[in-house]
Amino acid sequence: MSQFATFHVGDRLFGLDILGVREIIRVFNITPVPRAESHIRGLINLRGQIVTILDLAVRLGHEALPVKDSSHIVILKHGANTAQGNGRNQGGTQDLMGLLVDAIGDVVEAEASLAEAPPANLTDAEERFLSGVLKTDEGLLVLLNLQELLSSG
Amino acid sequence: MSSFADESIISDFVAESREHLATIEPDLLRMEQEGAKVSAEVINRVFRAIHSIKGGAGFFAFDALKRLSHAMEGVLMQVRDGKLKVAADVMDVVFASLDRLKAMLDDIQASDSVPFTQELAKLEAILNGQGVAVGEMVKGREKGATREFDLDAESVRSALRRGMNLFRAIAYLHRDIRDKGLTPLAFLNNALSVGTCLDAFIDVEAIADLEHCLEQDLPVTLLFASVLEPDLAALGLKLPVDQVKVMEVEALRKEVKAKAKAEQKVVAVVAATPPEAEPEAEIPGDLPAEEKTTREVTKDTGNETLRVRVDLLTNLMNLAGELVLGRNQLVRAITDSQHEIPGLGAILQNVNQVTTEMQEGIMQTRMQPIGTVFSRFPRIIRDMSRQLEKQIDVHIEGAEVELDKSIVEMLVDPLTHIIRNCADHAIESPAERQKARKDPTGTIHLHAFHEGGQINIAVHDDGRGIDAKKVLAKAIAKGLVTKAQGAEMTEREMVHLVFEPGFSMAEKVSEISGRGVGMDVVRTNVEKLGGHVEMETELGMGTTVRLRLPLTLAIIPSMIVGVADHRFAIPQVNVVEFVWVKASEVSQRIEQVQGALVLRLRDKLLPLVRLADVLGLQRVFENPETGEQLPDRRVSLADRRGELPEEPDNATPRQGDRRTDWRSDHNIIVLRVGKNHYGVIVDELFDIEEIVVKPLSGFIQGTKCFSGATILGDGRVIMILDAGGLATVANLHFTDLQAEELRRAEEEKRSAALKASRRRSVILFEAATGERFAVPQDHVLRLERIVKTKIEFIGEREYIEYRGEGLPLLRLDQHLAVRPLKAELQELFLVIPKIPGQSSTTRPPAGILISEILDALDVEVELKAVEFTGPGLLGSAVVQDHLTLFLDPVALLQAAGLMGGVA
Repeated sequence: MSQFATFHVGDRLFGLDILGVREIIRVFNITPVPRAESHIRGLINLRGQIVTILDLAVRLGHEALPVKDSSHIVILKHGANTAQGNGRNQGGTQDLMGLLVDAIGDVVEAEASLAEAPPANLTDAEERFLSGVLKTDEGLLVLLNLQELLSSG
Repeated sequence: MSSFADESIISDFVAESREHLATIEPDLLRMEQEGAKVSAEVINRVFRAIHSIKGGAGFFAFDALKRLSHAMEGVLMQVRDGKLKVAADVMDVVFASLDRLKAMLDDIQASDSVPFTQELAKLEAILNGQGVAVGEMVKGREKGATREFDLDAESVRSALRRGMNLFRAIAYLHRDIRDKGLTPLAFLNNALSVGTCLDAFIDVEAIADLEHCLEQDLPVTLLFASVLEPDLAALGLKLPVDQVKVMEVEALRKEVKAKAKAEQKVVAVVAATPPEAEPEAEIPGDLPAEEKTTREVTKDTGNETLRVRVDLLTNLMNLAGELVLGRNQLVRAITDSQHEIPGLGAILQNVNQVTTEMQEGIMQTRMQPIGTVFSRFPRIIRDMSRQLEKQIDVHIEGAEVELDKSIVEMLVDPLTHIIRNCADHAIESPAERQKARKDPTGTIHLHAFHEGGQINIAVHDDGRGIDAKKVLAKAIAKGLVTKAQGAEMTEREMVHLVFEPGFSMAEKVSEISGRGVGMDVVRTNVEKLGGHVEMETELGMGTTVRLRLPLTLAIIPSMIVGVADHRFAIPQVNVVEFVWVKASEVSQRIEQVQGALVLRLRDKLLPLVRLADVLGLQRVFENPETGEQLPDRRVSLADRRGELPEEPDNATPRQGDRRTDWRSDHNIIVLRVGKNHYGVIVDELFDIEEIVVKPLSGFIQGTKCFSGATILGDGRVIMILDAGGLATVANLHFTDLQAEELRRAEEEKRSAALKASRRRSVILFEAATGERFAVPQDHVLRLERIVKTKIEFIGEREYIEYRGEGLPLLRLDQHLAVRPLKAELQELFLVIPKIPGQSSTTRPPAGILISEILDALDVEVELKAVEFTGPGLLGSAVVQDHLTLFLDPVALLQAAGLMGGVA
């Protein structure tokens, strides 16, 4: 059994292996980065470290969602897997990444091996970033492909 | 064995090589896993690391290390060139060799006693195209016996000390990895998140034959250490419980011993000289690790320094920043109640000061003089020149320039490569140099200096230089560029081809350098630091390699600017000056040249960009009436209408016009990019703050506008603008502007020349009172004083005796509409005009009578036509506040009929 941190983006419930999650924080003061790709929501200061925030909705090919009271940032354990970042920073503290989500859900236990392939009616972006679907008590849990999510491009 | 190398240099080499090996391993694993799909970058990285080790080993004469790494490099080169497939048997040999390299580095002075001939033989077999045969040999040796783990006694021991359990876990590639939607890498990453993987191998023996290997499930065996209990470990590894077994320490001990014995046996057969001291594999629990540790510690004492991990310092730096932040908040929170508690003020001040000093101190721990890198080069050059039988001098300048430690470290490799290249390839042999009429002793000049907030390092040699055409020919031969591309290249671009991966300049492969990875390493490393490499060369005269490096990670004073509601930091080193253009002056000072905004600043044309536009932000302006922020839609500053628009009669008049309102004033920051300057228009200027540059995520580096991010005192994150990147993104054409500037300067020169031509030396005089005249001095031959009584009359005409002859006199009032001379004057002056083409001894045709000479001076005048211009007047102008008529004496004389036969 694996544990999944779950969160909502739009009307969908997404899951990430909890081992890949460093912490979950409330949204505050995101500094936007001009000229960056649209799925870069901006930067935040997490206790003296700069964290790059990805807008999960945009990354999956949807409209950016406004920050609400329920919005949270899921800070990931592993740094981004970009051309510049994978040399010295691997697993390091420099390239911290976070995902902006609409709301967070419970931690769900499920057997990862039971995951089914994602449905066929996906956008290109979704096809790339989703790794599977799990049926849980909470409903359908869409699993994210963290590695793809954190690779640039 | 090295007899000459300095202890400290060697220990540096060992530390670096260990770092290299540490980075190689994951890359090798990736190569093995991804096979042919592995990116060239990975292979290159491994290759370069091994190459560095080989170079060092060759230099320090560690024969075993050198021979083994040389062979490894050869194999990797074949892989890089696609001549060799990354098969498991090849990788086995590479990994085994890697372990040998590690063992050698563990005790470098005894490195030659580490057995390596077996690995070397296998590597050479692969190089000789017997890769398959070797694979079979390896397999044959292992047939029948279960494969054992390659144990690293130290890591096993440390795992056990930390209370970890050791597991033998078997994962089937298909069933446990692929079928669960995982990649092997993801599986491994997952495994690493729950524990430590000490060793892993794929059991090839388990496959019956090669043809069916793809259908069959491959078992991967892991030696895994984790604090988890067996059932949890299985869960964490996502493996069925029966595939994860706890290993007995006893069993482990046996395995290690068996391995050590087997190794000794093989070595005894293969190697001619048996190793004196094959280290007995230490079994956890048997021997405490203290002994080894103490030895290392004693080795390092002697100087007052302590090795501290850089990430520890980085962390401390972050915490210090947080502390500053906390202090600021604290001060703010209790300022009001300060007076209620006696002594609080002093406490606050103390906290304040200590915090500041601590932050500064921590910053300084990271700074190191570049001399720590430079100092090794004289020795290297000395020894190299002896090996190569050359005479080389090294000059070092600027060794005291300080840089962040991480940058200093990253510079070691590139600089060493450059220096080695200089000595090995660039500097000629004494005989050659003498033939070229050069000093037989070559010179390498190392120079570090600060410039524009960057560190510049120049390495200059006076060697043979680089032939750009040869470089191009080679690049074409190697397929790096096409012939067509080459034809369009400048000489500079050709020379810079040496920075391309896979380019080799050396004719022959030498042990020290020359496989064409050198300059590639230089560029990769320097660019990783956010720096830049350039090369200048002159055939026969020498080559200069210039590195420009940023001072990232250091604290830098920066100007905080605001655009719309964003804030940005501009490093002060990039800021030249600050210009404030009042709204009312915009039309005079800002204009458009070829569609681009420019500011006229002290006769220079400064390209202007609006920060908001470059960054794609919505510009805003404050409505002068309401104070609300509105989007600004104006396209151009320069094209603003000069006249106020006519308001329709019934329209309510605007209270203030934005074109003249002070809120439309422009704040322009003049930035420096190399030699060029440009202006950035921002909305607001804030303080200058000391900021700590934090590197950007790879996700953002593509924007090019930013060199980093920082956290302000109030905790907010802001981006640091990169002056160079901004200019690139804004597409500034400095050369166009230079041309325009040149054009204007020439225009200026022309108009100055024109002005000069208008300058005249004149003689100023009065005829009648108050009527002033001027005669250009070049029209006057002489001025004479005469007495009125000397004037004689012949008929109507007046004459005077002048040098024994009668000179006709001319009165101005007879020919021009001016008043006559005062009759009562007894003394008069005579202007003898100069007739062009006549020498001064020729008899002048006539003299002009005037009353008084006022002055002789240079005037700059523009002559205006006079309404009563008669013949003989050049025009009029105001001189010394009086209207003055300028005479043309020759024309006057002609009009009076006095020129006689003279033309």
